[in-house]
Amino acid sequence: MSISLVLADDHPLTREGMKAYLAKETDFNILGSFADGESAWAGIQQLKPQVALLDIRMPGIDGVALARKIKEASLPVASLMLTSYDAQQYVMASLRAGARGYVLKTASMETLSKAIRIVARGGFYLDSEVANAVEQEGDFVPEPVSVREREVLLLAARGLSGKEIATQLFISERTVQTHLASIYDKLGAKNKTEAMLLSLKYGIVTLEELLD
Amino acid sequence: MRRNLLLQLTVAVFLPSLGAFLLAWIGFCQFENTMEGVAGSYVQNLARGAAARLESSQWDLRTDGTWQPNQYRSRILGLGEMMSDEMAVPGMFAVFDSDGNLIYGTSDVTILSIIWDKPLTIMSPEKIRGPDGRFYTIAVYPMLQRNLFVLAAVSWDKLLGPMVSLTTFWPFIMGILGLIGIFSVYIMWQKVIMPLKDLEEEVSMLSWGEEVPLKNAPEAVTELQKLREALVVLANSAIDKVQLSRRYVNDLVKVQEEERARISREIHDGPLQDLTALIQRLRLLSIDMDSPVEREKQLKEAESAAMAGVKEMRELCNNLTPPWLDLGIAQALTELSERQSAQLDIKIHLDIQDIPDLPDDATLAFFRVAQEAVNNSAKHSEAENVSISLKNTGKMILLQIEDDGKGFEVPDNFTELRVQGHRGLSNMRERMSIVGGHFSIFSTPGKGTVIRCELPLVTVQ
Repeated sequence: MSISLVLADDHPLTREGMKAYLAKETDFNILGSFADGESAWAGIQQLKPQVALLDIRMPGIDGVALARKIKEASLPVASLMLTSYDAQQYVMASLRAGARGYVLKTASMETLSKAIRIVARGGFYLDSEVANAVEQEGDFVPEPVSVREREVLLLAARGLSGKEIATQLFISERTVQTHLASIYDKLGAKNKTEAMLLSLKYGIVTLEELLD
Repeated sequence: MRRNLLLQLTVAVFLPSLGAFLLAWIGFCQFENTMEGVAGSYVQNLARGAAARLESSQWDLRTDGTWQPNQYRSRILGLGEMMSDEMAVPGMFAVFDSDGNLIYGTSDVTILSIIWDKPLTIMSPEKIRGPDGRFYTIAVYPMLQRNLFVLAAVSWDKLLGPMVSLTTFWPFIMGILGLIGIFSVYIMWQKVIMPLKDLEEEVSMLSWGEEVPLKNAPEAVTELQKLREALVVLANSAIDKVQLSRRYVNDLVKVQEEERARISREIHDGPLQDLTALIQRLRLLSIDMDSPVEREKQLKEAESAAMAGVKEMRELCNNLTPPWLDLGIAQALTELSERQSAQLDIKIHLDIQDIPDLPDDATLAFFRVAQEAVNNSAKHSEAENVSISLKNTGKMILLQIEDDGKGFEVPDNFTELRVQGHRGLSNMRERMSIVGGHFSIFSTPGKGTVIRCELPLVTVQ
């Protein structure tokens, strides 16, 4: 079964390169490509592709805003961000806007195809260049995270401070820090955002839980 | 010395006034005493004389025990007449017995009838106030042999007359003058010196550019009030200035950030995308290695992506700082006019005459002014032709840029203009002033714009 796609990217060279990439995959069906946010939005509403590949920086409506529009309109379209920005805050902003995946434009063909297939199935994909502290070989399976650690991570993801988490879970602030350090260690994360992204990637938490 | 001048002036007015007042008081008391003395001894003499005269005469004691003054009555009368008429001696006298019955009195002595009942000290003069409101000095002398008393009195008015007015008025006038002096000092203190001190204190504590002195000092004189108002105006303008310069600094920071953002955006949208496209093509090429047609196609695409990247980066470099500025101002302006006439679709006429080698900063300043000016002409003034001339007048290097556009009203204040977000003109002016040059702009709506930059040769060499 083929996967229908649209592509929104304002830069002609990368747009053409991307199209050439996607044309190589026989199960991908490119319904349209757009050079700005407005025409992309119109195209998405009309074509209702399974997956929309969105550049973040575009004239008119940017990619994050497009993802939000798709989510708000409850369209049966999975947004996959395709961008040159590797800032983790951009990833978080995209995910909050309802994007199901985040891939850099320099990703390999295999990675892109894999990402498209995963988000088309309703899954979540995150480029390892954005959130991967350690270069992991193959299918890295992190050490299991304890229930308490998971709780701490979810509260931290909601923006609670160490002190607030401690109060809520009836533990000391020091214990909170210990849990977080343990999570970072298990996931190979260097900071909170990365820990969140990696736990998403490895399915430790779901997007819904994290953005709740 | 000068610090306390005001205080000294105050003291200089206050002390004499106080002195005059005190002297007047002392003088008044002295006069009063003296006059009392004069009047006292006068009435004493009068009373003693009268008593002596009367006593020396024979008064008979009648058989019934009463005195027979009859044959002496003429003598007493005579004395009275003598006093009132012949000698014109002021004064009056009366004779009465030890029970206080009046035996004889000069005609006007009844005025003093009020005192009959009062206890009187014998022999010593006393000053009293008569029922008519005047002052009198009286003295009582006894005639011991006859058990009679002589009372002599003199009216101050009659005895001393003008002296009384003088003793009362002179100190009075002096006292008033003194009081006026003291009062003036008080007023001056209250309305000039204190407000002045307050103002001085306030102004010295004032943080200029942030605070304003009080607008009103109700107790101060008008001149001080005016001074205060002037200071308020001054303080307000200092505040404006500080705010302006704060906004100016903010503006500079903002410009810098905007510039960084612009450069970042240009790199992202240009070279970064081209490189990405190049990577994509290389990956596609590795897949299409087997098909000669596809391989050729991917190679061509890869090359054009790389070329686009180079072109964009070159453009970026040119825009940041044109490398051909190194060639000198003449070449730089030529290059600029060729590029701009193509980019902005405008005719640029260039006239450059034997310009010496200029320092890099001067070259850059002229270049940027010309660039901005041509940009303005093309974008804002709808000009079709721009003339750029660069001359060496022998005293200065003169850059003149003239267009045939629609012109505009030249604002008075470039700084204000800059703060409002129109940076072009103030940037040009600042660039010239940094290298020691002078920037001026002339424009009339409908008649084009002329920009003149003068750089004295002295500052160049």
